[in-house]
Amino acid sequence: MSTAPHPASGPDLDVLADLSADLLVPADERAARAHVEACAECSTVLQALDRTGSQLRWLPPIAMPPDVVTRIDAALASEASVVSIDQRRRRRVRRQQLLGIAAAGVIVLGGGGVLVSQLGHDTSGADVSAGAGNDGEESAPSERPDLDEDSLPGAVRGLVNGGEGDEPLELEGTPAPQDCVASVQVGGVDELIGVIEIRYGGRDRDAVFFTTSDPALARVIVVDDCSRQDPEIEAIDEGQI
Amino acid sequence: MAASRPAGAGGTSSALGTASDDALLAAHVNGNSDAFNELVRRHRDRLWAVALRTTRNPEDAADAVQEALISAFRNAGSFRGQSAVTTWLHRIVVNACLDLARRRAARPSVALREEESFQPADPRDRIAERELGIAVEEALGRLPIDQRAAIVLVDVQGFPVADAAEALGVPIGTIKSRCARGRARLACSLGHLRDR
Repeated sequence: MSTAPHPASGPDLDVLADLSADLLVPADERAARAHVEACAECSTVLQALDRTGSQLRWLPPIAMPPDVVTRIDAALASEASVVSIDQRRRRRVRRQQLLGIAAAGVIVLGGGGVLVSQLGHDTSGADVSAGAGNDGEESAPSERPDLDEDSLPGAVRGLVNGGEGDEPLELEGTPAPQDCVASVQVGGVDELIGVIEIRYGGRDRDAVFFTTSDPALARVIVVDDCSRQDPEIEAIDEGQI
Repeated sequence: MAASRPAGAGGTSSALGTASDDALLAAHVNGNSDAFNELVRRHRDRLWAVALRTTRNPEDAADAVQEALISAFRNAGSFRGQSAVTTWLHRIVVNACLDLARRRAARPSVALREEESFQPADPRDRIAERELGIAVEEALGRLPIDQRAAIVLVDVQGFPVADAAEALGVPIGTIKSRCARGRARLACSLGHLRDR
């Protein structure tokens, strides 16, 4: 390798950087290499660029800090819950369109103008069967809001729609078998809002929602299987709507 | 109201641990609630490193990674498998970093603290190596963000140039050029070269 001094006409740093990255067109590359072979300074520059690349490759790995891991996990869990609820709502709307929502009984309640949407257990037996989650798409575990004792009250507002002004309370849930509703209804006073399939404590469960005497609150009763005539009640709670 | 699990929605955690990235993403799209978490667990450190070294700010890096992963979570169904899943994830993270950097252009980047740039530190590292690492990290922070992002992906994270080009949405030649010019600046910053 020559130790000749760097001539004024030699390639600048950008050209040498391009040479090291194989970016020059063949004619320019030949000229640059010819110069470098005769120029100690340019050879040193190329070596320095290689050395810089090596130092970059040997930078140590960086682990995500625990607090960021926790934050990201929580954000994704929240997103999963929202997506699950949204999926259920979209699919419920599609199902209602397919079934012909005209078959649904609409009960107009007095006072607060609350509408309760409810498909009759007796009037559409075949449809109720379909709505009971026997199709694979509807009953996928991921479609169910994943709740537990702590998260259940806070989830009520996100599950129950409406309730402002004359806007009716409604729930994009499954049809509500009357036997199930009657068996869990408190004193026969509170009015049914709807039933939705959830995951509760890691298991597939049904949540039955009722109005309460407080228009700002809804009662939710978690049962093991609302298609049963006398389901087991696993939890009763109330949440803001 | 019995539930039946659709194909692709099942899978034990041990099965997820050995599944490919593509299989995990497909399982997530099919409703497996654990698959995306496994994907994140597998790649989060590399995604974090890219975000931190690109944004030069831990808060911004956390914001960018969170925003990117939620976007990936929502849009997983649009992934067509034309690149590796990890390239797709890095593209989303890098773009989130660049968007954030543009939005906050008025705010100067800050030098990473030692505990941030060397976590976990290798106890075998010699002091000189650690000091050199800090110097390189600081020099990286002084690069224009486009050059920095290219160098972080190609030189630091070891991505093929083609993958980095796809991640950043620019031609391969542009990535090579950004890396070359960035290395030249770094070489000067690190004192390997006298000013030319």
